[in-house]
Amino acid sequence: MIRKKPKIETILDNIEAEGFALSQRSMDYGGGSIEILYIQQLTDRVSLMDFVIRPLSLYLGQHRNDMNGTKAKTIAQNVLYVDDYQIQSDGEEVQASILDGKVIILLTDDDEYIVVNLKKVEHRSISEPTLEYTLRGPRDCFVESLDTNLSLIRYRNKDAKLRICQYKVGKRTKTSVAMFYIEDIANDKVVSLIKQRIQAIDVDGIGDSGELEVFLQNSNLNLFPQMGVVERSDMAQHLLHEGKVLVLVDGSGLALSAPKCFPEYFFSCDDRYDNMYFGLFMRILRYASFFIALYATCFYVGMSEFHIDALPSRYVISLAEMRASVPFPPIIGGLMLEFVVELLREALLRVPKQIGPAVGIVSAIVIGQAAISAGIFSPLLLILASTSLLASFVMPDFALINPIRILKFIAILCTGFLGFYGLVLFSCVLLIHLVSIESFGVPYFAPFAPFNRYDFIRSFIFNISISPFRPKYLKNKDNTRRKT
Amino acid sequence: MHSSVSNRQMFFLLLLTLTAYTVISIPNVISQTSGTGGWLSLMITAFLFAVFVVVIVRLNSAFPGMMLFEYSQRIVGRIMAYVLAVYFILYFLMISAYLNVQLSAVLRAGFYPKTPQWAMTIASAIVFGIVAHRGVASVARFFEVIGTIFVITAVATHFVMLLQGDLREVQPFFHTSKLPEYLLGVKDCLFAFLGVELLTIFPLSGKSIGRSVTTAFLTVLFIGIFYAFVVETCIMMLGMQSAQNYNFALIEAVKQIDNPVLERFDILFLTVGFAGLVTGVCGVYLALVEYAARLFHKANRLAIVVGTGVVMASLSIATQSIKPAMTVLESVIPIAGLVSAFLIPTILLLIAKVRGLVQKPL
Amino acid sequence: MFKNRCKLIVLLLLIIFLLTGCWDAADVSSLDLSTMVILDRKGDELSFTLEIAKISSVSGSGEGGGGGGKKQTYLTGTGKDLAEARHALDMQMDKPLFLGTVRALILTERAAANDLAEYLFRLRENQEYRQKVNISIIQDDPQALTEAENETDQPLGFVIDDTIHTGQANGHTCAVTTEKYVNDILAKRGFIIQHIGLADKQIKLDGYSVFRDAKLVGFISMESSSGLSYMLSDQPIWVYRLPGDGGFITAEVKLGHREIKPSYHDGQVSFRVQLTFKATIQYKTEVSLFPLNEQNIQQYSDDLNQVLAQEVRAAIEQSQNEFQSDYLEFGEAFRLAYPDEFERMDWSAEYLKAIIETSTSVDISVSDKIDIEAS
Repeated sequence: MIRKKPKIETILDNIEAEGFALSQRSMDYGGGSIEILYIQQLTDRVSLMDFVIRPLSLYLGQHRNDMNGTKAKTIAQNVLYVDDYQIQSDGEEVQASILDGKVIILLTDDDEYIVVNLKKVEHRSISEPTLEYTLRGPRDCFVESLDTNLSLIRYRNKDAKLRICQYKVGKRTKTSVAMFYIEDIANDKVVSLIKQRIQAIDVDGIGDSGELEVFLQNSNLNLFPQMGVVERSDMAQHLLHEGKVLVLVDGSGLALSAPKCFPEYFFSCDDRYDNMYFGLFMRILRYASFFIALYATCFYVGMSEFHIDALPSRYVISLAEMRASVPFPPIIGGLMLEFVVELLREALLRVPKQIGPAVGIVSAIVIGQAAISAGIFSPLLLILASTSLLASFVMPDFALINPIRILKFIAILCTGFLGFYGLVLFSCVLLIHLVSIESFGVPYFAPFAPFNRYDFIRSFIFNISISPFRPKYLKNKDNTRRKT
Repeated sequence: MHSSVSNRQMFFLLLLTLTAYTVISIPNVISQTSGTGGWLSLMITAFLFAVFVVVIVRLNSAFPGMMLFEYSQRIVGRIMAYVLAVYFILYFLMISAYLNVQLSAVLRAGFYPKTPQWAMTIASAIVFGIVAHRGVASVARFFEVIGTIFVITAVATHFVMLLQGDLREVQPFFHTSKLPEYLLGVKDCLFAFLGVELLTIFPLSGKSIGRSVTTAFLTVLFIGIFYAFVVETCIMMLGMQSAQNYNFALIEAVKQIDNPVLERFDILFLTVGFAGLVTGVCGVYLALVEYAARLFHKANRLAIVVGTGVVMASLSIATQSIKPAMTVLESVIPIAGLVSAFLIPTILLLIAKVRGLVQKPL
Repeated sequence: MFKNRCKLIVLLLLIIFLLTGCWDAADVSSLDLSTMVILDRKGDELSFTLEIAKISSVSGSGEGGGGGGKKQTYLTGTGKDLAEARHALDMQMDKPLFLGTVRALILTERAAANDLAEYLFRLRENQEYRQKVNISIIQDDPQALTEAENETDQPLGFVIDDTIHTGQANGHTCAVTTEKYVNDILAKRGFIIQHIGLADKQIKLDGYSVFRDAKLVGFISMESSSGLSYMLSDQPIWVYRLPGDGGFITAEVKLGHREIKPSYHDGQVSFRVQLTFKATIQYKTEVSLFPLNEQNIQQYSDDLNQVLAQEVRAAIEQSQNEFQSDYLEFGEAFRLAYPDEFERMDWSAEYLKAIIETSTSVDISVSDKIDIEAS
């Protein structure tokens, strides 16, 4: 299709008619003018002055009388001190480019125009991670600027096969989305599936990677996330080398990785950097923490309401004494206390930093102690609920904490109605759900089910020197990390 | 999602389905019929059923990715295939209702004396439905996970029982004069191995047929050894006389285990053991749903699951209320089981071989 | 479709919650926790005496209620049979009774004489009882037992259970669980049950009650039960004081190995019992007294062997002649070797005619800890 080449005036009239505030710098040269269009808030004005306006001014000063017929290409190649520029001719794209933070240079005698990337958006500098904090390992994490994030990834991955696909998502926000993968490792089906889904997104705008995730997942009704959330650049590098696909969203400090399986939520970067036996210990601890976080309160409800005779006799008497003044049955007490714990968790997340520690101390000690003194909760229940809360923070990937917080209540209800058999039924339903979902074609519960011995061992013991193969359940093109 | 099962999954499918409920009552049955030589009756029966399962696996491997309903259409024609499907639906309906009733009875007798059986039946049936709705591949993975936990816990528990029990209760292990008793005991062990016919709904991939056949054969033999281990350790803990008196002898034996943590060690059985039990019943219910789904292929799967669940739960509740119903089921199921596990697959395999539909494995 | 599915799931969940209704839920603080049950018979009436733990609240006042006073109460219910006696108890209870914390089941000799089997079968049927609960016999009235004291002020059921376990750990008792007694009754075997008594209001293990055909037939005191424990216990330990030249030596004796070899010829049952012991000389009454050398040690070994053989012999004769009950489990040994013959014969009669030979040997050594002969 031959694009229409409107005159500079038409373009300027169109932009003026839209009425969005932009800056215009005109440079007349007798027979015409050079118009520089940009949005102040999105442009590096110092660079604009030094590398565009100043050389243009100098050039105009020298060639004022023979500027007629000057082409955009000539100006871009010989006058401007910029590296990132494009020559465009589609007048309808001018507006979009300006809104994207680019500088548009229009010339009277040329229907082509120069698009210069001098985008400068205020964003926070690279800081320490808050979600994936680790004792050992690099501390740089992604920020809201896509360019900065790209630089972090490029810095760690000098692989010629690293592919970056960029898209614009959102009719109004036109958010930049970049997809990363290593071409000769990643599974083609996963790559094409993610590409397809990104390109199929039809929505007003995307604000964060979380909103993009909703469009990329298999099912949005699922409680368990099917994509990973990555904050650290070293983690991103590891994931790319595993054969995963990374998706970064401009304006979001968290990247998405796919596919992501359930056991991977228990992996942490520390496991790679530390001694492998310590890594094994920590992974076992995390798996145990998952069960404690989910089942601690259920254990209390089941034991004190249905299966009292399973406890040592002396302890039954102590338990009875603890519960003597508590008016609520264990199930009601358990639900109430878990609700209070969730209130506490949310409150501490949003409380101002200045009073956060004080609030934490007040709620933990005062409420806890007062509740026992008032006979509302039994001390054992409080201990178990607190342990459950602590255990939920042991998991390195915060995305798994949210399902636990919800499932805990359902588990307590099931236990409260049918004791440990109710808990067994709940666990069966949970397990069948986990084994039946997939993350971009990969079984969610791999390598536990379907079982793979190599991957299963590696999900507990990991050391780069003794792990020559990548995870087999990802069905990568190249499964070999190193020659054996 | 791939719909074939691996050899490992087949192992757990067979293990949990066969031991679903029978493992609880088999010490009682064996101690009454074969006494201390019950292990021999079990091994003989295991060998027989290992042969039956080889037939089923051979058939499945010859038609990769298909279940019995599909490949029987090729072998005996559409009408006969539908007749077989109806037969299997009725058979699995009976089995799942029976197992559901027994599951509720065990729970009531051992742990929840006041909860009505119908309430537990319905609660369990809902879970069976949720599991069966997910399909063959998911259920196979489900079996893999639960099966692993079940085997490890069961073996560890029975090993402790072996150490704590009285070995004299299971001696003499073999006595020549009692050989007729041991052989007669095989009849009572048949029920313990019903469930191999579940493999008719799980398609195999068709790769390495020899390995699949070997796995299936050894699995059933392993289950025989497992049963023998369970029976002997239960009798060691309870005593021969007591084992004959308890319907749910396994649970009573587990209660006797001395341990520093729990006063009632059968709480472990309530969790892990019943997870295995529920899984086994889920497998049987899945078979019912799969055959029904094939028969009523135009109906929505969820509708089939709910419909069969309602029928199964109603049958379970009716069986609990009508006393002769249980007796009828207990007499019909072994015969129907032999027909399902042996007669039908053998005839199908023979016909398939005669018609050249089954090639020799590489 | 999606909405319908959600509705269906919600409906299913509701069905679960409504149907299950927690029939078996019982808050632990809303139960009367029983720690001991005593069954007694007086004439035609049976009575249950329960020890119920007193529950005091720990909240508000820090650690549990202080002050003196017993931490348990006692309730008695009487009836013509077990069910009626239990019903009479239930009529007195302000909360449902919980039997899962019972640590000791006591029968008086009067009750044990005829009611043991029925009571054990009743126990077997009741899922609440711990299946490993210890059972004991007392001669005294339940009233006397309830007035017993203990230094830790615990419920008496715990004290009795702990006393029995301590005795087992020390190698002095051979108590077994209730299930074993049930099995013995069903197999028509004789058995012994721990007998407890009171000494200055303190619980003590004072011997064993002997049963034949589930009926009480006699009593063996603790002092004369060493032979019995060598035949039944896994790890019996007894201490002996033997005379030496001008003094005494003390030796601890443990059972090394026990073997019972049955034989059956011409309708005659016979056994050969071989017991090997390990004895450790611990100390002498006089340090300077008689040196311990090979000759002396051999002498002590012979003396000890004689004493042990006498005790074992006495225990066997007592079971055959006095009580006429095979509580020493010779029947089991015979059944293993001759199962067909065992099935055909009336073992309770054959046992009384069995010829049982014993042979004992002692391996005596000096304690490793002390150098007795240090100059």
